[in-house]
Amino acid sequence: MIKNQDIIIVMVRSFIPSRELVEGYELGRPFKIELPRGITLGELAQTVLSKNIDQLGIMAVNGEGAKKNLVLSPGDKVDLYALLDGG
Amino acid sequence: MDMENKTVVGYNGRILRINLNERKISVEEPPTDYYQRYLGGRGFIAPTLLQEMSAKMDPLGPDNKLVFALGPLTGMPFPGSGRNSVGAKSPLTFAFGEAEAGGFWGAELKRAGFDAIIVSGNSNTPVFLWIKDGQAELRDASHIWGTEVAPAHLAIQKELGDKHIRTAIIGPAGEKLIRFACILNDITHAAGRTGMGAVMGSKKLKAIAVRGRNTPQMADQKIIADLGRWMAQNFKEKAAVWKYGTGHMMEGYSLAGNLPTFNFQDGGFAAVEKITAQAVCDQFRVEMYGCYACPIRCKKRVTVGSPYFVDPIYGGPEYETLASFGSNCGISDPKAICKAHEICNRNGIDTISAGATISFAMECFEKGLLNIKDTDGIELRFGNGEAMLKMLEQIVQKQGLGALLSEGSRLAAKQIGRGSEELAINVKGLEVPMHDPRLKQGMGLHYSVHPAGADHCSGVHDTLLEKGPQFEEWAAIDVNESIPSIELSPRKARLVYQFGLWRHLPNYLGLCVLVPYSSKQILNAVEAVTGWPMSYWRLMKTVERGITLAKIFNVREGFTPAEDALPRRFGVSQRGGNLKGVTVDPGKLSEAQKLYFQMMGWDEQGIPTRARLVELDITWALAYLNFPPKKT
Ligand code: SF4
Repeated sequence: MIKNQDIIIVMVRSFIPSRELVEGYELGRPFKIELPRGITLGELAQTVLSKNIDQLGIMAVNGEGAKKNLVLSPGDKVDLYALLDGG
Repeated sequence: MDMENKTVVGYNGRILRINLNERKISVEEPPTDYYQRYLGGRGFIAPTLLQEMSAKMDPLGPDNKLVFALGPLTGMPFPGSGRNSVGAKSPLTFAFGEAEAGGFWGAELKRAGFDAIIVSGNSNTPVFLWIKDGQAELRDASHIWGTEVAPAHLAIQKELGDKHIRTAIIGPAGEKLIRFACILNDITHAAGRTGMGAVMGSKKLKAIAVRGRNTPQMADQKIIADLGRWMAQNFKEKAAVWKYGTGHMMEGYSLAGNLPTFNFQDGGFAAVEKITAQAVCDQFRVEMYGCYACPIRCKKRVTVGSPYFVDPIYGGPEYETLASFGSNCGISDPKAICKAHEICNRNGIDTISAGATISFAMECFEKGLLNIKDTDGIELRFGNGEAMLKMLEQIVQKQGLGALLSEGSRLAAKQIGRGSEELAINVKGLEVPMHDPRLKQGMGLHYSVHPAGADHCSGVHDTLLEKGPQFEEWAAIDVNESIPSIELSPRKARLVYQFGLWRHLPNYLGLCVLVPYSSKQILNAVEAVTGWPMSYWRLMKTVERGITLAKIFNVREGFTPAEDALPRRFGVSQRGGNLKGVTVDPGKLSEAQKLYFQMMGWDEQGIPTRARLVELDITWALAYLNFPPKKT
């Protein structure tokens, strides 16, 4: 059984379509997600994006660029951006 | 008129010629070989301008030719096929000029029985061209001359009694010959770049109205129908633009250093979250809408009540507009940006050049190169939305400083002098779009060598190639190496050449780049429409043919490698942020340009070699390079 202290809640905003249905997910809108404590940014991206992980470009935590091995903290705000193209 | 008399499948086999000097209308039926060799779009434009014009002609005089060209895919019933190209000698760059637009007009022209329209001469009085089901006539446009884009469009529909008529139309800016005037399809879809609207205005051609009911036959209708179905089912998984349109990732751009800010002094904007596509949609969106046969519907229509009324009939700002009037002018007021967008479409000017020319003037003002007298009392400082709008109104009215700025940043800087040339961020006179060459170094190389100037629609977005979902399939065009975006090297030059040929292709086919097709699907679509056996190699050679002919056009105009220069600003670091310390190294750029020339088969002066013309099977173009004529 996972105890409450083993769970953290972070806010995620993804600009990449999510193939698997993640509860609360809406493209470009922040949503809350519960994750095991100690999870890294890269693991979170994999969870949220699933097979669309190859569309991932840069990531930010609390507005700052971040690398995938960063361990997330409760309340972090995560942004997942697609590879920057034209437009 | 016999609409069944077709020699080529997927096309109409007919090109419409309009001679405005003589008010003469004629139809040509080019041989199949012409279609196979040039495909369409930019591919039709380059040989026409080269063969039918002489050097050094006034781009706003009667000898310029204005070409509207469709691709083989234009008007075919599947997503992304609503596009057409427009080309002429540019009054902004005095080089090969060209732009694309979406919407419905191109598809309608295909159904009306033509693959291209070539307009020559200038009319004495305002006219519009009316094309319906294979027939064409010139009509008086005196009553709509001087009229803004939407009322002129609606007046034409009313006069002809059909609200399904599509128009390619100019606004008052085109009539006033503003050098970055554009042509708008169906009021909101702009063929924005290189001043094609001014060329149309110089010809006193207010609009081309079109109605058609016959889509040309395709070789394999089922493949096209299947592709359409597949895209309808899958686009939400593959393209995020459907939700807010372009500009939805501006915060990511800002973080990466790709969001031009304060006239390209920076690449990140502190108030970016206020001007993103989401912010605009959340506050001002009326609806999303789209182009012919496209379920993605990535266009946002906005309205604002106060302090400025923004008329929703003019659509809403795309990424380029959000950045050029927003961050690049230091402006965080989305209402002001929406209004600027509306003013541009209402009057018919390119939002990129307009925004970038104002950001240039703002920096001049802040650096004391322009003063409050020059601006008629306008505090033209970064961040001042009111001032930006006032100056934009001056530009479209050609009043005060606006008259000078309506010439574009390069010519304006020439007049202002005193080092202001360094602040005019353009290539060959075409203002740089909202992608920073310090991050996208291959794009910078492309901006510098592209015959039309700084065009982001045909360049390589390096960031997309760092890795990504399409990598595997790009191996088919021999792109199989992930290269860092900020690298500028021989292998990046190869990428700009090799992948660049593929990136140009949609502009030859009449296809929208935002529709997430794989390269194989594009290849299959061309085969299915035309029935011709296709290969990546054949398609890319067609593009190379087009670029080479455009290059020869420029060589004939006297362009040399000296004009293939990036603004010196990109040799200086952004002042902060993620990219601080990163510059475009002039030595590396020069080496990459030389390599690109060699790969394109151009000599050190940028002149295409005889061998390359032979290889591309366009030896006829030798005559335009002053080679001794050869007797065979
Ligand atoms: S993706 Fe957008 S711009 Fe492209 S065809 Fe569809 S609606 Fe038009």
